[in-house]
Amino acid sequence: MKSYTLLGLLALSISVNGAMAQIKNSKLVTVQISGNCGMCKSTIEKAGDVANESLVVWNSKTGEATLTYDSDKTSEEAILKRIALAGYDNERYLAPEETYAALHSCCQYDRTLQAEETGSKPAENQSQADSGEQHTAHEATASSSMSSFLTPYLRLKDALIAGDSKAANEATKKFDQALTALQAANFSKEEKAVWTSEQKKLQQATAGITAGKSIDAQRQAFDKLSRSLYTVLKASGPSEKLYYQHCPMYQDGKGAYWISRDTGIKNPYYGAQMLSCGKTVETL
Amino acid sequence: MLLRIYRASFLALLLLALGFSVRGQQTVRYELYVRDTLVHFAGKEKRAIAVNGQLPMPTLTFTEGDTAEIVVHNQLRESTSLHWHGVWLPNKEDGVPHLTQQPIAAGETHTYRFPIIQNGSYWYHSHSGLQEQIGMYGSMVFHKREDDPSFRKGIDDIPSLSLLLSEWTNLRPHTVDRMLHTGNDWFSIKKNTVQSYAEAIQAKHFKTKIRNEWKRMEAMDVSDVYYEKFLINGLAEQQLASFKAGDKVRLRIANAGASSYFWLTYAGGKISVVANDGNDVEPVEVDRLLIGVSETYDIVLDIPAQNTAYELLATAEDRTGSASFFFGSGRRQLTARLPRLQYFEGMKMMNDMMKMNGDMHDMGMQMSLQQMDMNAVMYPELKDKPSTSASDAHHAAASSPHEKHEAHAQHAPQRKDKVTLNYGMLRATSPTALDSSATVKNLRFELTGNMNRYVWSMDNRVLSETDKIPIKKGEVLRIVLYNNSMMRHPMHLHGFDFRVLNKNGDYAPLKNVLDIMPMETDTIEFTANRDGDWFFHCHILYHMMAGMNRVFAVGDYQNPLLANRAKAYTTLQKESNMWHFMADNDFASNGNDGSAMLQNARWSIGTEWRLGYNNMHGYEVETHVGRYIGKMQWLMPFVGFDWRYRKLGMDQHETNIFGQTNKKDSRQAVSVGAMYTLPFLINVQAEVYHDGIVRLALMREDIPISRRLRAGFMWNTDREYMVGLRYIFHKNMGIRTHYDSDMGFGVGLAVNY
Repeated sequence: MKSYTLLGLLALSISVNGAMAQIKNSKLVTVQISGNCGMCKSTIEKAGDVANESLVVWNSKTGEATLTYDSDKTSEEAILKRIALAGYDNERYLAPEETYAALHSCCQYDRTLQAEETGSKPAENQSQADSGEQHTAHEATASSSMSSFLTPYLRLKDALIAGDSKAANEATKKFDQALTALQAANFSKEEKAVWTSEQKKLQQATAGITAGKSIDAQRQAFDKLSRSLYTVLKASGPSEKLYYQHCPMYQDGKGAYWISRDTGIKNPYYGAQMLSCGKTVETL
Repeated sequence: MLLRIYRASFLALLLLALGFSVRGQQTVRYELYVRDTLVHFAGKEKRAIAVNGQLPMPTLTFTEGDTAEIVVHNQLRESTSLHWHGVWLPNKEDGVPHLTQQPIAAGETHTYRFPIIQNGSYWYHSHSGLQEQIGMYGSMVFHKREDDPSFRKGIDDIPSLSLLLSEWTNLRPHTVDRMLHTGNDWFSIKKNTVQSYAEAIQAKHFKTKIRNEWKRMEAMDVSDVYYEKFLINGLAEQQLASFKAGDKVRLRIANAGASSYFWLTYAGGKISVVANDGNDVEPVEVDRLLIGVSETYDIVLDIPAQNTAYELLATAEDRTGSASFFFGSGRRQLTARLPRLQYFEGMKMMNDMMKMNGDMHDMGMQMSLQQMDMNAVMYPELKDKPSTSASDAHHAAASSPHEKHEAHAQHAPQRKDKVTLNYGMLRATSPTALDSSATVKNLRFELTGNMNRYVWSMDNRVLSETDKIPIKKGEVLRIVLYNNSMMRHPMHLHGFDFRVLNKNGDYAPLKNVLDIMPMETDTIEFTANRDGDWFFHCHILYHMMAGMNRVFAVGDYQNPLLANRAKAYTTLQKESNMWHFMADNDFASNGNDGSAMLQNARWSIGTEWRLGYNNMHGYEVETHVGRYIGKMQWLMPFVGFDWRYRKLGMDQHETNIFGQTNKKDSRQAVSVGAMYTLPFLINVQAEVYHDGIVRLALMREDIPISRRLRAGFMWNTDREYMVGLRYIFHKNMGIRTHYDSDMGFGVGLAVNY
């Protein structure tokens, strides 16, 4: 696999590439680096190159790379470590899982250099979300009441917790459908009064989410939606126990609200960064 | 016959009992030779301290029931001491100079002797001055006896290894200490955390920066000192190749860093936390944990596959560097590096949390037990992935079908929430509840301090301003701690483990270090059942030396090693409130501008001078002796003495804006006045001289324009003004250009000490 080419070849390599001429005490090595496309080539070479110190040329067809480096300043090891940290497995180092997973999909090469794990991996812990499987039964019974849009609302909230704006959009569309489907005739007098005042706000908020260009814009609209929904639920009395929760930090201290089935805090306004920020302010 | 059997079995029993008692009372002796040494950690040969030729100091191993006998031979040219961190022992063995013993003088030998009455992972370090920074730290292991009922299969019987985390600076620790107190921002230049106006504008955070300075805050950071290297057992990288696939290893990790917290992450899967500060906890699996200064954590790691070495990475909290340890042999499986902090996001968050008077404001979030890490706003690795944002989805839809497919592919893997350890997750393996019939003494401490002058205190009092806190022996001490400062503090109690009250009730974990983040409130409790003077302090070395300490005096302990306890305490108080000297001078083309100052936690004696090169420009020296008032120390009343000589032309007099004329060319004046820090960190100084002349001045010296460029200005009611720019190229040097109303335009070399 690896061939150390001795000084005799040095003259040749220098004449091949002008940039190499600047690398003193130069040493040439050929190594195998995993990867599969042109985009990989630029990432690998960028990670490996240091001006006047090292130069990497990677061949996307063979996966072979030639490293030319100043053996006084650096080592094959150091260069390959940098390349692995950029996401590419090689003879000495394996890329971190997260870095590999974050590579562009065309760069997600087969990790043939990784050894098989011996023990069976424990199953991934399914995150217990509000709108998860355990609540499907509930979904069916509540469909006719005022809380029929609760399920899509909670799904929307979970999408925002996960920072998934596409899923948020889909859930909002479901929410809108439930809103339109709701027959105003079923309401009591008080409910109707609240409904007339809040319906428009709810629609504006959902429009804000679907039109939102960024997850931040969607989250801002979600706060409006939550406040409005709270008023509606408060008037009609929810069919189950719900928690009105508050994050005091959002929007430079203006704060934001959301509704959840769980007492535990999972803040939809910051994603993973501030997942546990907030507290329950009211039980509905 | 029967009798003989009886007798034989009796003899056997006796022998057995003797055997056990011999085993139980085994004395384990270590001889430690403390010596100066030279090390080469970061490009330069520097002084360090080695014990038995080692840095870190040797690992000391005992079994519960042993007696430790540790002989310290001090071969340094200064005094030393050794503190046994987290260990229950008689007060005179605790190793705090001037509190539990006299310092071990240069050339002297001192023997520490104490029974080992607990088990777990501990460490030891010098408690003298700043010796801990330059190598005086080592691991200590107290094994469980094999018949211990708390012996845990799969944890206590697997291979274990002690790892000490530490950091290295090429600066002398006393220089580090002085630089922190003199407000030298060289560390933030090295760390690239200046957060200057230019950088703020670039990051679209100009308003954030303005608000930050309005609230009189300096650049925000999670740690104060720049370190060249981070080390695990004295090395930046090492490997233990003897592990095979399927093996487990228990690591006894102690953070011996003087001021760095470390993130621990592992390339081979989850980290199982099994003990903390020497005490067993129910195993809990996490993706990462932050180990506070002086905390210990025992973790168990899996080696999942053959022919692979898995990396355990310890990253400094400020992410300026890391150290690695590889387990296994073969290709090295790396773990992702933690990306640089997003400081302006942190600044924005801090702005919201800081009141105008310098108090912290938690917005009603009731923070405690590290459960809500406000610093997380600065962690880029927790940001929502850009590929999941709406704008990207939109972009994908608009471009080629091929790209659309990619966007979908990236979308597919479920986001996994990383589990970070916090104190709420720690649960003791057996009940820890205290005797409910004991009397309870409640104490509350507010952790206070300010970054501007690097004064750290409790209830706005440093150790030199407080007496020992008397505690009756056997009392339960319940302490509520509230962190009203901007930095986190690892609070360490000597001689006891305290319960950290969390959701686990009777199973609240036992610890001896409590990391408390800004705005958090935590409650700890313990039974004060060992006599003596026990230190309670912040374990960040430079905070401790700034006075963030208290002493609990339990019972009436007569320490045979301290003849005069009161006098010794006075010395201890003095050592934690040292005077710091600083001076600077600008050798400029139009004269010399400079100052010299001697300061401690409260007092300041300072002299400023402006010395021209001729009589027209004049010579001026102002001396102020003042005392800083309040927690934030924004106010300093002072008395002053001015001397001035200059030669103005005939009948040229200066009139100030109040119409007062000052006729003398040679003037000596005594004054009283006050200095106050206004929003935007502008100092206003008002002064009345004995001849009735009044002077008001506004000034600021260190406006961060860019990473290395500082602007300054001064204006006063004598119609004098100055504007200047300084480019910092060395920790003690800069190029300065300024315009002064008296002396005109000048360029020079600004030197500071």
